[in-house]
Amino acid sequence: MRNFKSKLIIIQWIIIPIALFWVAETFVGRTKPVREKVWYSRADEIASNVKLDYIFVGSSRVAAAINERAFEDFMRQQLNRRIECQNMGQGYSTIQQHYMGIRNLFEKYPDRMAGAVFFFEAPGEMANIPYYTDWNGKWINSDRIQMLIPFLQLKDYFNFMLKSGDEWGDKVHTSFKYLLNPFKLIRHREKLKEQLDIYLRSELMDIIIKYNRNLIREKQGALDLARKGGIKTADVDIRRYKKMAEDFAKEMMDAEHEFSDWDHTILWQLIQMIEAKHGRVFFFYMPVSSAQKRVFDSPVHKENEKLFDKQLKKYNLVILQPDFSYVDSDFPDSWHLRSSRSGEFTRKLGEAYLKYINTSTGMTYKKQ
Amino acid sequence: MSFNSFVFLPFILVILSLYYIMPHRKQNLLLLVGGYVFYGAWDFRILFLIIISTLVDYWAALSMERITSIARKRFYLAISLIVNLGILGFFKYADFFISGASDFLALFSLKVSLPVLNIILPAAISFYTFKTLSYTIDVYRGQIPPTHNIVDYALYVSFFPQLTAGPIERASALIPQISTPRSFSKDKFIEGLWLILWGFFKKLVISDNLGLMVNIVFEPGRNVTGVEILLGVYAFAFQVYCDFSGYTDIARGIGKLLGFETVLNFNLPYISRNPVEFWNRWHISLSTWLRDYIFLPVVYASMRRIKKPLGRLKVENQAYIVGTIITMLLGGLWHGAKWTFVAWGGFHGLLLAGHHVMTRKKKRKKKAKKIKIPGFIKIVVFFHITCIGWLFFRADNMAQAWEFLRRLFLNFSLPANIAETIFPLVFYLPMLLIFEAWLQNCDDPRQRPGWKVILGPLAVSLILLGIVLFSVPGGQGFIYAQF
Repeated sequence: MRNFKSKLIIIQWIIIPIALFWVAETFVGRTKPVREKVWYSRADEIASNVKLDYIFVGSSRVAAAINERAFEDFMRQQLNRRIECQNMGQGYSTIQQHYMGIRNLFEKYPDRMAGAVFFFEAPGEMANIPYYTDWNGKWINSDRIQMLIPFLQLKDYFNFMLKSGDEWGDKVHTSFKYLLNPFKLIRHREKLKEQLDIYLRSELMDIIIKYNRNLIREKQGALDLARKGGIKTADVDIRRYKKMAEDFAKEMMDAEHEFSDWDHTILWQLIQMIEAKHGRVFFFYMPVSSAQKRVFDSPVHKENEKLFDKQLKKYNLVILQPDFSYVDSDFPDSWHLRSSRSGEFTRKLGEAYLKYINTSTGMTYKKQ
Repeated sequence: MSFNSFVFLPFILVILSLYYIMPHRKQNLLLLVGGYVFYGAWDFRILFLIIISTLVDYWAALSMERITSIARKRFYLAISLIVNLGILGFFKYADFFISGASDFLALFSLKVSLPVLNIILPAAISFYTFKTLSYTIDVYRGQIPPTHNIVDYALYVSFFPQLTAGPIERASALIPQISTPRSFSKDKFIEGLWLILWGFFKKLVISDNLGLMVNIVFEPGRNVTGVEILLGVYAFAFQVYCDFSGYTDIARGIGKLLGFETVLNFNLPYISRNPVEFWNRWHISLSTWLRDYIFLPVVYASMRRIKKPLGRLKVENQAYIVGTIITMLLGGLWHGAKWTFVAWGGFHGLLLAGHHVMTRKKKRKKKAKKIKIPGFIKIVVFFHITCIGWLFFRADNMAQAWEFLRRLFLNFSLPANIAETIFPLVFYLPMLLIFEAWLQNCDDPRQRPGWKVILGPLAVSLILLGIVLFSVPGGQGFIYAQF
């Protein structure tokens, strides 16, 4: 009997933790943030059914400025056929992540990705993605390590550990995440925590309002900003973003140096890979707030722009310049274009794209 | 390297896997090298400071042993003090005193622009400096014999679990453990694992989440109401407690995994009813250090100098007050080169001195009518008094501290985003209180009721799950590691 009791005491140390984690894992798997596909997993889902025609690549500024629906509507009107467009703009993303995401799509769906047109945010070195980086640069943003994991194939993982310029702490962290990726609880923990915080705060506010009718709930997302691509819309975050835009501009201006060796960048490897798979690449100028524009106007940057233009010409690539006018108040957080203007900008970009296609090929895509 | 960095996990796994297959002397060498790797991971250049400090004190202590003359002993002690305090003063306080001197001269309309040196503050310098100082002072006082083994002494200074933020272990407690062989103990190992787990929970779940809210409230230039400030200070009180006691638990836990016993540094400080009790429960290793090496010498020196009572204040009470204020001001300054820390120390100095005078008065009026205040009310009142101190401790500068104090009393309105501010307190704090109430600061949770059946595995699983789900992505460094 005594022996049986001591065995039970030991067994509970196995059963209780496993049961608790199994319950948590099952529960987490059924929650909306986990089931919802975003970024490249959304593109993967679409490409598994239909052909992907247009893909936008860049930072959260691209996420804010490009309105997929507006682009699809505009192109459908112009081309007289349904098109599929995906906005891959994402805050905290890196060019390495975009490279692997696009590579994986091409490998998985070669037919449905063939001929896809890619639009890249023209390198202003203002986004979180320094375009001029190579594989020895940083693959991850330390605050968003989980973003890299879905792209990693085994060979990428070894390359990441051996080549990337990320800190060792981040590499070890990534390794843990990579190993534990099959568990939804680990894979989505950041997203889960964020959603849980938002939900609990909202519930708490309801209770407080119930007892204090003088308080009015602040409308969530009232600010005219897209709620995607890692863009934050809370009061606190807006203040932080505004300050960050100023600080970042200063930082970038200090760090900017002349760069011409584009052939050895990941960006160029990505372009070559896309073209090898019969895709096409276009760059486009983004609307930017005055805080960010200061960087573009610096002498070093002007010089870099010339060098970049030279590189583009060498490879027959162009930068589209949408005919879009804007003012500083169009950037509520000094960083991202306001949501209500993204449709217009996207249409203007579509126009610039078709205009270029029409003039360069002599063909007309205008609806007859 | 920090305990909450991901590099630390492979580091400790390597250390542990080699540790128990090695003989005693090699274990010490392994821990010494590990300590230098751990410390040098921040910036290998700062390693030379800890090495200088180690060599000087090792030599000074051995030199003191060889002689009998007090004057000569004092000479070697002076060398140790000058080198250690010189390094600490230069790297930690040089810029503070330079800018202070500029401000002082400006008071007399003398505009002198003294060059600020912008010296990088070496991590944990205050902690290991106090450790090495206690060693030479104790040898000088004849309280401990000096150690003859340089590896043992160097390991005492750079014992990595305590290197970043203490506890400030005395040589008399740690060196004997270093010099004698240690064997594996299953019980100690389990206690160690538990302390590490609990420490990480306090740091990653409670402290880091409260810290997010505290940062918002104390953000410079932000328009906050008194209610937000009050909630922010409450949050900071628990943030700093969970951060520091969490660190200590992890340090003590790692110590136990390696077969060491480390001094208790926190003992549920927020159930204190007065300042003396608080300092017997908060950062115990620092408060006892300050008592032994600053407070008592200052009190004895003051008693020799003060000749007569000041009104009703007896000589020993005057000496006590002088000793307390000086000790706490220096204790505040030890935390960092900022006037807010000095103010925090001064505030606690006044509390301790005030408490001393009040208790003396009470003793005199023993027979007078007594009003009994329930212990719970004393705890609540004293917690709020402590919070005033925390406001100074956390404030960016004195101007912010005074402004926050003003708003706390004159602008006590409910902000529209109250849920944002109160949420971490409502959600995360109960987790801490429930576990603390159950554990009651016990190193070995197996002694707690219900541990053996269901509660033990349930608590461990919930703590692990809490760390996975609620720890802040990216995390924050330990507050006391900056000191």
